[in-house]
Amino acid sequence: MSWQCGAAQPILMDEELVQKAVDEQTPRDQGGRIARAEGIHLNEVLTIRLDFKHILKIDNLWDFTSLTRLYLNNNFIERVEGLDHLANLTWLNLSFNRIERIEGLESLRKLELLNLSNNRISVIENMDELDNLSHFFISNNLLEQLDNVLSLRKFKKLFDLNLSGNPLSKEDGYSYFIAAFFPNLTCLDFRLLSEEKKKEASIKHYLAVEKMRQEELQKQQADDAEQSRKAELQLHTDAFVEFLNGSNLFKSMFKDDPEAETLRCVTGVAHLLQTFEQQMGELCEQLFEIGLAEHKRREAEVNSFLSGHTKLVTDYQKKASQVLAEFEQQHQERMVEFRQLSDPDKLQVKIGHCNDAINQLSDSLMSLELKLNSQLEDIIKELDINISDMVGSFTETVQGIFAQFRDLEDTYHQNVRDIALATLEKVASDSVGEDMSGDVRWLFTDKNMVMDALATGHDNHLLKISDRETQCVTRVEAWKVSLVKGIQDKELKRNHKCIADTLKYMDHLREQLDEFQWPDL
Amino acid sequence: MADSSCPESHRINSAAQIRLLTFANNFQRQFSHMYPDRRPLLLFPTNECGVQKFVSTTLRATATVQPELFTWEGCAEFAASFLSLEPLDSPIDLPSYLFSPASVLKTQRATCFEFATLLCSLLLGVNYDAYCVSGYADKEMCLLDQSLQDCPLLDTPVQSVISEESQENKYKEKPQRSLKSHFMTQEEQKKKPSAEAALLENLKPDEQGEQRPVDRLRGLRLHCWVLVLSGSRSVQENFFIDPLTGISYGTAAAGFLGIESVWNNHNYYVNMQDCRSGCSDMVYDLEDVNMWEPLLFGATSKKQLIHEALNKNLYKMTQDVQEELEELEEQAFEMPRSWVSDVSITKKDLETRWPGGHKLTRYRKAELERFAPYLRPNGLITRLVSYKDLDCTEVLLVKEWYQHRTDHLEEREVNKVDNATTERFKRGRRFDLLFHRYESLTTDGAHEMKFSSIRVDNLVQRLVSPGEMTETFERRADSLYYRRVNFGRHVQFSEEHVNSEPATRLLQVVERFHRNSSKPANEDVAERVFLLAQRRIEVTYHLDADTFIPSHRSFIKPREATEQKKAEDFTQDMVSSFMVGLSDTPVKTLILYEMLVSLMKDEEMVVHQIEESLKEVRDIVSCREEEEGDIQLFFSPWTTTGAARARSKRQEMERQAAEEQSWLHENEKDILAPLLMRLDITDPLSADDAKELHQECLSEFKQKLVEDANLIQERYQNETQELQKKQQWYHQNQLDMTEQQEDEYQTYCSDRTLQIRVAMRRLKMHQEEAPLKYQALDERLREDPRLAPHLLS
Repeated sequence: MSWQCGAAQPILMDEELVQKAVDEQTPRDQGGRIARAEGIHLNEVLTIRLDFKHILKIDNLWDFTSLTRLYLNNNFIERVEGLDHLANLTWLNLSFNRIERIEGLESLRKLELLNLSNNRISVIENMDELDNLSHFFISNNLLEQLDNVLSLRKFKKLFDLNLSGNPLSKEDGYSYFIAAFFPNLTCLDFRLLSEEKKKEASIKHYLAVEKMRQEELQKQQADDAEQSRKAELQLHTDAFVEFLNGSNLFKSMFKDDPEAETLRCVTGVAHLLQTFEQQMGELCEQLFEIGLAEHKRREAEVNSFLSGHTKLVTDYQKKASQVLAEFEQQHQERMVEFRQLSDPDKLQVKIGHCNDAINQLSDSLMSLELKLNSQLEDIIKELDINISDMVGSFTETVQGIFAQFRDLEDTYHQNVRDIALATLEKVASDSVGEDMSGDVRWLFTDKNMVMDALATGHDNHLLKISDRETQCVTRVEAWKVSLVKGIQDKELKRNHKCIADTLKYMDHLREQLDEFQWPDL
Repeated sequence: MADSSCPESHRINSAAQIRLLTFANNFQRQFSHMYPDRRPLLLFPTNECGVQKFVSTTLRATATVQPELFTWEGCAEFAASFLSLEPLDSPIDLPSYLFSPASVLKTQRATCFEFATLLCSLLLGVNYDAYCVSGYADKEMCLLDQSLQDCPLLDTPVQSVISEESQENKYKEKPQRSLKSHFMTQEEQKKKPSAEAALLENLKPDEQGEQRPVDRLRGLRLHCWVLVLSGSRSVQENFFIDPLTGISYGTAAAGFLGIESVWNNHNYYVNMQDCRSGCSDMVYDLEDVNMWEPLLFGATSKKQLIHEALNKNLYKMTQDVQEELEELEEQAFEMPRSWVSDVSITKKDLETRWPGGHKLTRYRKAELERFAPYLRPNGLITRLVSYKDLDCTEVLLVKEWYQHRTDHLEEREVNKVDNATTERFKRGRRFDLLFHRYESLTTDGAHEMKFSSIRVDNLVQRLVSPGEMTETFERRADSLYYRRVNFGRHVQFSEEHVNSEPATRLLQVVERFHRNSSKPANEDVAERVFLLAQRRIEVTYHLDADTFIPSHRSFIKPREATEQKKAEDFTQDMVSSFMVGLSDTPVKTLILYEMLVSLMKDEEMVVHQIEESLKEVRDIVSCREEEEGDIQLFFSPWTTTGAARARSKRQEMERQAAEEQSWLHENEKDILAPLLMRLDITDPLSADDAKELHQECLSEFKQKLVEDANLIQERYQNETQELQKKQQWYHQNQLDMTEQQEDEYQTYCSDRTLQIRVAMRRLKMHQEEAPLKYQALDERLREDPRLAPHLLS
């Protein structure tokens, strides 16, 4: 380890050092010459070697945004830092340094190879983001806990691992332990893991591995369930009927309604409430089903539009390609002719012909594009009409069902009112039985208060229903508008781009022609 | 006709048969009395031994062990192909004889009645409800003249085009209104009929040529065929089989003109229906006495048997009752057993098929020749020659089918019009060739080759013509699917050119790629054109979803360094590019340079691959030539020919082995022979002679060993001396020697020492082995049968 104990002074990693390293690694051949002539941009450099440089601190690397390989081995680095901008890094060598902690790797999501051998690391940590890690070398460090290594199990792509020279690797059965808990590993400590060994190891540690696997499996299943739940909710939201299955709407109506609870205790109200909830639930379910079916229909419509769109565009592309191929063949022949012609007058005439041909090509391509554009606009209009019809009918259905909600609410309110009035009378005449609690009795002493509470509750319920209705209807409308708008915008952009490209190509052809016209220039 | 080798049943009628004959005689007399205008019935023709036999008894239900004959198709094909037709003596008179199926199988010649009898016997044997039908048919059928029919092998299978678009998409291109004059369309319409008429007129002469003169004997020509009724063996509908061709017809087919009678092995039925308008309206309910008059009343019919078999299980309970009923019924006369001896069909018969293993059939404008497997040394089994005209003079197409060939050739089609030969192969041959089309089997002609999809380079098709080669690929990892190569003119695919300078010959290479959707369209190459002659490379990229014009780059290759000049530098001017898209940041020179470098590398590789391809073409052609020159067949041991061949081969091998053994035995060295000759001792040896012989032999051997040892010794000494001489010479001249001489000396020395060492080793070995050899000889002499008795002491 002469580079460490030699006379060399640790140096700072400054711009000059980095620039020099980049310059040194540029090859001396023609490619390198061209690169130098054009100037090397640090954000285009893919690899950089900074080994054996006595570097103390990682620095000045923020320009290298497309760097994929970084060699910082055999330096005096003590902290892993300054790597935050190297998002494309796949290969990082930090071996033979003085690192004590794994850190600063959070932004290296594409990292595949990580070499931390010959450092002073005692714990494997802070590596959660390295999903693509496949090679991990951490030999000759101070790792002691075998269980600590198990945190590497979550790297599904890991197949090459080196742990030799750590205190933990001297433990009995260390290699069997690793082989059992990392069944995907092919290499351990630079040696191929044989199938027999893996088998033996899995038998040895069967119970522990199985237990761990079960736990992971459960976690995985929970995650999956969560995922599918989310996906379902997303589907419902896309169909604009989220939370309409079951009695969510009903519950939300009665959520902030303290009087309702009190009223429930009045005889007859509880029953009314129950019927109300049931009826609401049925209607909601109906609405929900309709919503999903409508969503499917809309989706099918849009898909059929998209496939029709693609077909149309490809057809026209084919036609244009034909035109273009014909032109290009003739053009090639003409070019060959030009090269052979020496008489400037004849050349002029020929060039005139060629110009005509280019104009003709431009015309035919433009007319094709025009036709395509009008065809596409036609089908977009058709889609707009179809989707509008669907959305319209869906909106009507929704409004109809919400009107039924309102009717239900009205009936309920009427019934409760009647009961309340009857109870009021009873309370007034003091002919109620002992079964009425004090609270309720107290409430029913004041007629105005009861009526107010009922009216407010009713208003609240109606408001909730209306809110949900508006939400549904406006969102479906907004979806339609944005869909059609998006398609129209895309078509507009496509049209512009196509025309621009055609014009650009014409300019390109004319430029070529000009070179012949004034060869001296 | 009488043949003493016939079994007794052939020569003599049993009592039951005689009774049957009297019945039949009676029946015939009554029939001719009641229906004087009807023609006579075929009831008891004479058999091969000149004995009258009733036709039903000539049918013998024969079950075979050959799986091919378990279906009616197999039986019909066998009967049609195994026998050759012998026309009736008179086409309108019933034959006076009907040979048994057994003898027919032996001679392989048969009239239509014997054909039908054999086929019917086979069908009855495998449980079909089959009948022989005696009736009238048209001339072509009676005489087995198929020259009016199209060959069944000729019609090419029409590939049904299944429309891909299962459902019409409503978002599609609206057709543009075409402006068209009504008047013009009307005029067009008027013209059409006259054109059609002209077309018809053109057709007519051809058809007229095919018209045959009207047959004077139509409706009188006798024929015999087979009727299969529905009910057994899951036959759904009644049908006819023409035994001469083995083809089945519906019962309403036009070729059958009338039916006189039908019979099977149980009964004989005379048709009572009117068949002036052919057989189309006939009803085949044989139980109905108004339509079919049976010869034997109350005899079991097939239908009854089927019924009984079905009901057996149902009526098990009431069996006793039934038996009683049966007993009550009047015992009817049953058809006696067949007199025909066993009909046996061997595997060899099935394989050889046609008489002599070969058959020629004439069809309309075509001739079909069929051969038994292994009959022809080149494995030919079927040859179809189709002609241009009806008289079969101008050959249009020769199609041949092969089997068991080691070069996997299955089909060859020679088109005489455009002179192209098309060959099709089974999978698994060399180069994975499946299809080969060529005009001449030489390297400089046009070739079309198709390959099976298991090739490593995913090549599917290759078209070679002078000056051009096109290759098509499928499912390649680099999504290349098409490559076209243009060669310089007047260059042929001959050996010298390829080896000398391939690069100069290639004019241009075009490669096309499928779209790889993981790349942006602007970077995904759609077409590469290597213009080798112009030192240019053109790259066209795929079309984006939106645009009409693809991006395009054209590179000019910088000159390589020559002895006079240094290599040309790469500059921006060498690239002309047109990139679609609005972003106008120019691509850096370095990137362009890297592109060019990789393209040039690819070019080299492509050129190499093309060379390989050309080489392969030559290899294939020469391989095919070789194979055609020496055609080998696989002999499957499961065929009789193959088995016979294998047996004879094994016998031959055994014979050779035995011969060799005996030869070895004879030539075993008689060590005593020279001595015996020299000492002039004759057998038997006396005791003294034997001893003398023994001693003589041993001493001679000893002498030989010593001589050998001396020889080796001498050689050893010679070598040593030579080496010493050389060494002395070396020491004298050591100082003024060149390096080369020194080297030579060194090698010489090492050679010599090696030889010396070998000689020493040999001497040593000889010394060790000599006594052993001597002892071995002694023992052998003592065991010699001539000396042993005298040397025991």
